[in-house]
Order: sequence, then structure tokens, then C-alpha cells
Amino acid sequence: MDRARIPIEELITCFKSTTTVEDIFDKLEGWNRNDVQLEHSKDYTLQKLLLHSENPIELKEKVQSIDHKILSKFMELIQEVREDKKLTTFLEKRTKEYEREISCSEFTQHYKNEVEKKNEFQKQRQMKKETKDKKLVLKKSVCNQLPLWKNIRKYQALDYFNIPVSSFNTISPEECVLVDDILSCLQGFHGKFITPNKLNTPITFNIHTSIDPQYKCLVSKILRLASAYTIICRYCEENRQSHNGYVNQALACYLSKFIRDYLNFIISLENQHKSENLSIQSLSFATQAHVYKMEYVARIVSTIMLENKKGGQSLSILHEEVIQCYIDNSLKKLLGGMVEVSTIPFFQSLEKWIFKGQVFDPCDEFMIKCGHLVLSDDTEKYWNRCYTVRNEFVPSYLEKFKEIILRTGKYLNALYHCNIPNKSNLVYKSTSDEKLIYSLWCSDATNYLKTINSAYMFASNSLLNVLLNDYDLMNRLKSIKRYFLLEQGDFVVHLLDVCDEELKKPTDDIVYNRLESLLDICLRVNVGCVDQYKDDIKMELKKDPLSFQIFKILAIQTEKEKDYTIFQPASTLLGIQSFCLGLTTQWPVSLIFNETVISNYQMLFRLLLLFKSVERQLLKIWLCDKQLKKIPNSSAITYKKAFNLRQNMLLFVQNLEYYMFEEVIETQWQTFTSAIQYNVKNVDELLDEQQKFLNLCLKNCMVTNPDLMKRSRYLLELCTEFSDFILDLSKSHLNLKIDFKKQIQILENKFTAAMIDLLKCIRKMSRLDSGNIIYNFLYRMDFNGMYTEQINKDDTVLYT
Amino acid sequence: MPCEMITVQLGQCGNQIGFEFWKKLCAEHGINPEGVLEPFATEGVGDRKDVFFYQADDNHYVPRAVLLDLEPRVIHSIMSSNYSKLYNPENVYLSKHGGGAGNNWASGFSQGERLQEEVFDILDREAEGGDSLQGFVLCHSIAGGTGSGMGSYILEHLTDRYPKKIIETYSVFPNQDEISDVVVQPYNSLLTLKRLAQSADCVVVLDNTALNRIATDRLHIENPSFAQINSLVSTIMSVSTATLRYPSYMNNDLVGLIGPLIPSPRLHFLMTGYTPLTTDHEDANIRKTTVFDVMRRLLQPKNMMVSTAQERSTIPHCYLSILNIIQGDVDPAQVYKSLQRIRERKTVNFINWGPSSIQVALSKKSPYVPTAHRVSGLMLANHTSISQLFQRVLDQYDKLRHREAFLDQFRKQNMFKDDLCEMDDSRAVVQNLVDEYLEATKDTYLQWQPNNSIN
Repeated sequence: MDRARIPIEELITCFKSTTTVEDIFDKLEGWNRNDVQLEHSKDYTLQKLLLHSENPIELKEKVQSIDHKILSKFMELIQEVREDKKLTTFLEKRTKEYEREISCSEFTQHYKNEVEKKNEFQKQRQMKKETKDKKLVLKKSVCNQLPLWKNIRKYQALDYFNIPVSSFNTISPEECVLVDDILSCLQGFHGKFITPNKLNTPITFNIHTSIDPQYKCLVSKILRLASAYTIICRYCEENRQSHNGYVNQALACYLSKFIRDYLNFIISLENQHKSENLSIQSLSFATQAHVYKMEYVARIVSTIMLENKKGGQSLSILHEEVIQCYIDNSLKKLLGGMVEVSTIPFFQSLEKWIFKGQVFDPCDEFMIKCGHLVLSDDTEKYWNRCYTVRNEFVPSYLEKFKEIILRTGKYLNALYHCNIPNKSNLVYKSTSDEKLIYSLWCSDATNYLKTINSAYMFASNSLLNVLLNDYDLMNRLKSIKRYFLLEQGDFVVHLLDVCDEELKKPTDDIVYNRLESLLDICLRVNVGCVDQYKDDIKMELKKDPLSFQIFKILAIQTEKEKDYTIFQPASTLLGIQSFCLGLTTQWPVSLIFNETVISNYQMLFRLLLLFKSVERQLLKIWLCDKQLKKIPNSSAITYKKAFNLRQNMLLFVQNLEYYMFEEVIETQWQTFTSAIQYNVKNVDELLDEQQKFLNLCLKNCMVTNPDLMKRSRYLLELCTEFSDFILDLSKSHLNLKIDFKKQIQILENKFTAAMIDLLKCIRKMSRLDSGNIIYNFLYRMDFNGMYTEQINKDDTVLYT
Repeated sequence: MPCEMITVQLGQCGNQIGFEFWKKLCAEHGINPEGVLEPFATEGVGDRKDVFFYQADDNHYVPRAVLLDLEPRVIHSIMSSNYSKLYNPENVYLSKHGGGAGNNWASGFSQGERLQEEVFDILDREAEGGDSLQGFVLCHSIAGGTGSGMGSYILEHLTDRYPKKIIETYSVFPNQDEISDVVVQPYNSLLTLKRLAQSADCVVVLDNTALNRIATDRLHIENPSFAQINSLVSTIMSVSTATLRYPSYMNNDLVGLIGPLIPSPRLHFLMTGYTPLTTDHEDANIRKTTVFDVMRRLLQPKNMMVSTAQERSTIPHCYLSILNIIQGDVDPAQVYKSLQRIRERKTVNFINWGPSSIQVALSKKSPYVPTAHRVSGLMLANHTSISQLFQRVLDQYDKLRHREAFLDQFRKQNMFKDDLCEMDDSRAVVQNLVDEYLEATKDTYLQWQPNNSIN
């Protein structure tokens, strides 16, 4: 207390404040207790302070030596301010000038703020020890809680206060007085003869009529500098705090140094003027060198200010300016410095993102946005929406790489959610402690792009490797193929055998647990039992018919919609129609087998299972037919017609199965897996490849073609009708010979007509789309030319 | 486990080809002659051993095989080979009488009748051992006594006992080029053919004439031994069951495999072809094999294991169905292209009363048995020219019967004691079969009515 008393007293006297020492202590302690939570990271605050400081190394040392005792800290800080003689002199000068109008407390307040600012840093240090997840809350709170100093202390900016000028001389002033006036104006004060129009942007000046016209022209020329100065000054004041983002703040910091240089320059002119009476001519000459630079900077910052640019937007503007500026080297250097410094906070956020996968964006200005989604059931939504690029905040020099940047952090994030040992290895650590540093051209050796690229390579390789190695993705895919795409044929045969009774029932009558345990048995006893991921397979009973699932997921054009919705009423489905496999997955496997992907696999499964079950029904009929060998008249025409119809149906089903399994699924599978092996470099590409595989399977298995789907499903229905009819017949033992003959004939006619309809449809399609391999099926079906004539016959009618 | 198959080996020929078949299966599944899984095969390669084997309590593999014979020679040689421990000894049945059937169908048939209780005890026990028995595979020859006679008896009764199971036979037809030492061979063949027509669901015809011709012409063996011929047969048998043992998308059960091959229940006689053919001592001197090579060669009569004279025939014989089981490194697109080229050449005739095509089954193959060829293929075909084989049996029968030759041995048996109407009946059945096959070549097949007087 006592140690602090003396310097504070001194300060109070110095600033001619009316407050007492006790008041200040009270306030200081009040701030200390105040738990305002702050956003600034330690480094950032330090950097900011260092930028402000004339003597950064010393300040840094000071900062580091600060102990926890508030008193000594305060004292040291105040002393430090006091030691800054230049500032003290400056302030004293101001005080004298405005002592009549302004209370000194304003300046004390300013110091208090300085103290507070440094105090912030101390708090930051404590905060850093706190847990990471508090960060979000912290980040949000800052902007709202800190007062905007520029509103409270409007005179800080020295922005031409409205001071009533005491005496006004109407006599044309001497040159010396005029120079005084101009120099005041150049520093942001009113002159006696020159008054600013504060409302104009950029600010304009009224030059008193009494001024000699020979100077007037020169004066207005010089005053352009003042206009530019105010714009830059206002920008600095506006962005002294981070409410417009760290990027603007950093730029403001850099510019305030620039302003200080400018003021030094003016002060030197002032000195010169005091010692040897500067002429307006030479003043004009001296200032000319600065006008261009100042106006250039002023133009840039006014663009940023007027259009409310922040973050990456500001960086884009600055970057474009640097690129376009190729005349003046010193200006180029200045602009380079501007963009370099203002990029620092942005790149710090970027480093956090691409090295650690964290979004650090307290000021809402970063190019990546975190959707704050929780990794729960809907991993697909999480993956696509949790982190997104905000295009408007992408600096133009990163435009080409935004996708890579997004993925880098996304992959790291995904990795954090994985259950793998040594998560600490998942932070990108470069070999040479790389930092992202802005550089104008991409070709530079020490380039941020190099770092971004290597961070990206690290992240994408890590995640892909974790998926492929730690999570054994290839074998999981094989397992999916085995069960969802029915590659494990004996499993399907067994399943249909064992669950025959259950699957015949309407879905509502199925005893869920029984069917589930039957599925479990099938999974366990077949060759597939060596599959280590068979336990992930679970049973689902879908409420909607396959057609509806297709419609729902693929959202086919409206004109086709009704084909999907009407051709099977969503009434009670049979077990075989609702039975479906599901997959239990954990992150990050669920990323690859997300809901959409699984439902695509499910659609294929349901379609293929339908074919398999119809094939099985027809083969049952074959088993019945074989018993007719010894029975007299088994070669009778009616029987033979039934045999032949059964054979036609069987050929249809098996040919289509062969086509779907071997020509579509297996062929695409080979492409898919070799793509994973040789081409895929990251998870998104993997997802794309898988979707490509599924899309091609769905397309070529006719799922996404309503015309073909409708026709082939109708053919399947006829097959079922036929087999049901025959099986009923063999059960009832009734001699319904005439009915039998008639019924077979009806079915045969229907089947042949429907078959020709389908084949014609395929033919028409393959004419339009020659790349469609569905034609292979037609070729097979019509291999011995059985249907050729009929397909062609109607076609010629159609085309003439 | 679903889809088990029980193999029944009958007589000298049946046991010999069965022996070769099991040798081959063991090699393909990595099972050693004692039934123990080889160390290299413990991982499992997605093969289903359980279709043809079951695991005993000590985990060693036992074939679902029943070995039957009326004379001890072949079975003794099997049981003294290094595979003796493979088989379940309870499934090996030798007639105590031991005198064989004397190459007489009637003797074999009546002995089958007499021994039926013991034989069906074995078969029933074996059938109950499986969870979901798919069917029986019968290996026999139609010319001798045991395989034909006893085989006929077992066939008839298996069908009655297991009407829902599939009965598939691998039936060896006698060599027509040689003068047989079995003088009653035409009678034996005819009588067996009736059972094959009526009781078997699928008969894979292995024609010794063709097999010998292939061995000499294609494999350049001057006097092929039984073992060499049987190794051809075992290849056919193992490849034709490959899709059951190495399951993939399709043809994973027997009915799915043979169902589409047999459009009409009576027309269930299949011929086979295999390419490329090599023997153990021959290197793969055939140039690079492609899918098209394989599919093209399979359609050549010289590669068929049935000797028919398609070229010389005036009847437009045709395929009812074809299934090519292709093994090896195959791209489905190549299969499709091969089909296109085959169709463009218009060398393959199909029936014209219903759709028919070359069905293809792409099958995995055993990783333990190295093959010299990238691609190999087996054709299972239902071709109307098979009727020529039956016609030949009919012709030879008619000649003998006309002379009333060698009927005494038959008359000694109960069945023929009173009359020979069993023979007449058989002849009518086989004639009907021939007629139906011939009708199938015409587009009026579906309107054709068989002679109703018999059956």
C-alpha cells in the first residue's frame, strides 16, 4: 500500500486530479475482484502490449517477472507508465492546454485503463490453466462485457474537439501564426483560422477568408494530410478493442505505430518551426512526401471501415492492395507490414485449426465456423455441418485452399473422437517448429502454403490410416458386401430356409426376438462366421415398402414420384418385404457408414433379397415338379406349359441376379476397392468413392430408374403369383385341371407381355444411354432370339 | 449347417471314382488323408467343408460318404490306402457274401433288395446327421452288376424315402469303342437307364467312350488307365460342386445350380465338358487362356465327356440349357464379350420353344491346389443329342433281345422268373425319353403328347 501511495500521489498531482489516493486504491481492488472473463490468450495480449511498447524486451521481462501480489504489480505498472517520460511529457502538455475545460480525471482514467489492460494479462495467465472447454463461454463474454472506450473517452483520438476558440483575429495572420495553426491541425487540434468540418468524411477544413490567397492553395494541399490522418486515427480508435475482430485490432496497432511516426514527424516540424520559423512553402514541401502514403493508407482503412470488413475480409482487401501496389517501395513495405501484422491473429487461429483442429474465433471473424453439433446418432449431419467454411471470411490468398484447410481441421477433429491410443501424436508437429507467416507470393520458400499442405497431409493421412489400419475398414467393407450385398450366398440360402415361416407372416405378426435370434444363428453358422464384424449386423424391420424407401432417399423428379408411391400400397408388408439388415457402428466407422450410405446398402439388400426369395420360391416349384416324373401324363401339354413358364421365370430371375451381382456389384466393387487402394488420399475422397460405387450399383440395378424398376417388380410379382398358385395346388390335392390350364395360360400371357415390355424398355433406354450396361441383361435374356421378333415387331410400329 | 450332400458310391467303378473325388476334395480343402486340417488351411478361406464333410468330436473331417459293394476288391484297396482313416468305417458296407453281382443287373438288384435294411440303416443315419440335407450323390456305372443293379434298387427307394431331396447321379456309361467283356451290358444299361430316367433328378453322364477318347486325343495317353480316367471324372465332380463349396453370390445350393439346367423334369441328363485339360505330367503348354478361349472350347464336341455324333446327325440337335462354371481370374465384362462373340458366330443352337442362354457361374477355386491355367471352365449342358447315347443302348438291347441271348442269368432272378416285361417296360421308358429329347429339338415340343399307353 505504502509503496504504491507515493507514485499514485505523484501521478494525481501530476495530472491535477481531484480524486484521492484511497479512491484509486478502492477502484483498483474493485477491478481485481471483478471476475470479468477475458478472451485474450496470453500470447496475444502480450503481443499487443509489445506492439504498443517502445521497449518490448523490457516490457516482456517485466511482464514475466510479475508476481501474484496485486499491490506490487500495480505499483510496477504505474511506475512503468511514469517512467515513460515521453508519454508523461505529452500528457502534461495536453493537460496544460485543456486544463480549463477538461478534468484531469480523464487522463487518470486513461491510466487506470492501461492498468486494467495489463491486469487482463495477469488474469489470462490464470485462465490458461483452466480447462479447455470453458473457452467457448469465455470467448463469447468479452465483447459484451468490456465497455467501448472510444465511446466513453471520446477525446482520446484527438479528433478536433469542439473547443470554442477564445480569441479570433480577423486580421490576416502572419505566416508564422498560420504555420502554427496548420501544425495544430495536422495533429488533430483546431486552429484559429482553420476549422474542420467534422461531419464530412474525409474531413474537410474551412480556411478563414482572411488568409492570404497565396497561402490558401498551399494550405489546402497540406491539409489533405490532416484529412488522411484523421481517417487513420479514427480507424485506430475504432479498432483499439477487439469488437471488430482481432485482425482489425492488429491492423490498428500497426497503424498507431505508423501514426506515432507521423506525429514524430509533425513534432520535428514543430521544433523546426519554433527554432527557425518554418515557411508555409517549406512546410508544404516537407509534407508532400507524406501525403501520398497517408492517403493511400487512409483509403484502405476507410474501405474497411465503411464496408464493415473484418477478419478475412480485411485481409483480402489488404492483400489485394499489396498486389496492386508496385510503384513505391516504401509504400509497398508499409502495406506489406500492414497485411503481415494483421494476418498474425488470423494465422494464429488458423494454426490452432490446422494443427489441432480447434476453432479459436472469439470475434466471429475466422473462416471456419463451428456448428456446435454433438457427435451423436446422425454422424453424417455432424460431418457435413459441424464445421463449415464461411466463404465471406476467407482471405483472398487462401481462397484456393479453403477446402483443404476445412478438411485438415475436420480430420483432426474426427481423430480426437476416435478411440485410439496416443492421441497426443495427433497434433501436427512440423519438423522445424513452423509458424504460419504471411508472404505475398505463393512461391516463397518459407511459405504458409507449405505448412498448410503438410498439416493437411498429416491430418488426412492420419485419419485415413486410423480408419484403414486401426479400424480395419477394408474388412468392414468386405463384411458389408458379404451381408448387405449378399456375397455370402450360403448365408442367404440359410436365412431364407430358417426364417421361411416368419418371413411369410405380415410384419406385425412377426415375433421380433425370434426372427432376430434366427438371424443370429445364420450369422454364426455359415462360412461367414469367420467374419469378425458379423456382430455389427443387426436386424431391422422396415415399415415402408422398398419403393417408398427408394423414393424417400433418392428424391426422384416429381413426375416419377407417383410410380414409386402407387405401385405398392403402403399397407401391411410381409416379413420378407420389411426384413432388412442394419449396422451398428461406432465413430469413426460411422463416418464411413453413415445413415445415407447404410440406407443405400439397405435398398440394395432389400432388392436383392426379394430376388433371392422369388428364386427360392421358383426352385421350390422345381422340387415339386421333379416328383411328377413318374406320374403318368406328366408330359401332358398343360404340365409342360407350367414347366416352361417356371423355367422362363427362373431364367429371368437368375439372369437378372447374375447381371446385378457379377456385372454390376462385383465389377463396381473392384473399381471401388482399387480406388481405395491406389487413389484415395483422404476420408472425403473415400466417402465420394463409396457414394460413387453405391450410385452406380443403384443405377445399374435399376433402383433409380422408375420405369425399369416398376416393370421388373411386376415380373417378380407374377413369379410369386405363379409359385403361390402351384404350391396351393399341390397342397389342396384337388383336381382342378381345367382351372389349372386356364390359370397357367393367363399367367403365361401376362408374364410374356410383361417381359417383352421390360425388354423393350431396356432397349429404348440403352439407345438413349449407350453407357448403360443393363443392355447386357437383355442380351442374356434374348440369347437364343426367343424375344427378338416380339421386341422388334412393336418397335417398327412405333417408329413408322 | 444347410445344404449337406451325401455321397453314395456303388460297385467297383463307383468306388473308384468316389475315391478319386474324395482325394480331390481333401486336397482342395486342405484336409490330409487322415481327415485332419493341414496347418496351412486352418485360417479358412471362405470354403464350406461341411457340404461334403462333417466334423467328428475330435474335430477331424469325415466325408459324408457311403461306400457299398458286393465284392471286396476295390473297397479293400481303398481301406488299405493312406486314405483309409478318412472314412467312417461304419459307412463302408461290403456284402458278407462277397461274391459280387457277376456283372448281372438282376443279381445286383435282388441283392440290393436283400441287403436293403442294412444299407438304408447307414443311409438314414447319415441323413439324420445333417441339419438340412440337400440331397444324395450317387456314383456308379450302368454297365456292371452292382453299380447298375444295386444302384437301381437304391435309386428307386431313395426317391420314395426322400421325395423332397435331390438325387443326383454321376453315371458312367460303357465304352462303345471296345468290345466289352460284359456280354449282358446292353440289358444292364437299359434296366438302369429306366431308373435313372424315373428316379434320379439329375444325371451327369460320364461316357467312357468320350473319356477314353479325350485321354488319348487330348492328353496323348496311349492306353489310359482307370486312375487317369477317374482323375478326369473327379475333376468334373469337384468343379461341378465348386459353387456349393466356395459360396459366392449365386448357385450356392444344389437346386439353384441344377434347377435351371433342367427345364422339364424328364430331360435331366447332363453332359459335361472341361477345359483346359492337363494331366499331372504335362506342363501348361497351351498358350495364355482367356475367358473366351475357355467358353469357346467348352462348346467344341471334342471337349465333351459324352460321345455323340452331332455333325453327322440329320436331326437339328440343340441345347436346352448351358451352365458354364468358370474358375480363376475372371472379369465379368470378359464373360459378356465372350457371350457376344459366341452368339455372333451362330454356332450354338438352342431350343426355340423357350428362352435359353449360356448361364455363367463365376466360382472361386481352392487356393491350396495350384493350377497352371489362369482360367478354367466346366460346362454342364442339357443337350438333346444325349438321346443318341440312349438310342445306342436301345439298339444294342434290341439286337441282343432279338436273339434272346444271355437271358438265362436274368431268368434265374425273381424279377424275371415269370416274364421279361420289366425289360419291355424299361425299353418303353427309354424310348419315351429318346422321343421326348427328339421332340425338344422341334418348336412344337410344348404341344407334343407322349405315347400314353406306357406311363
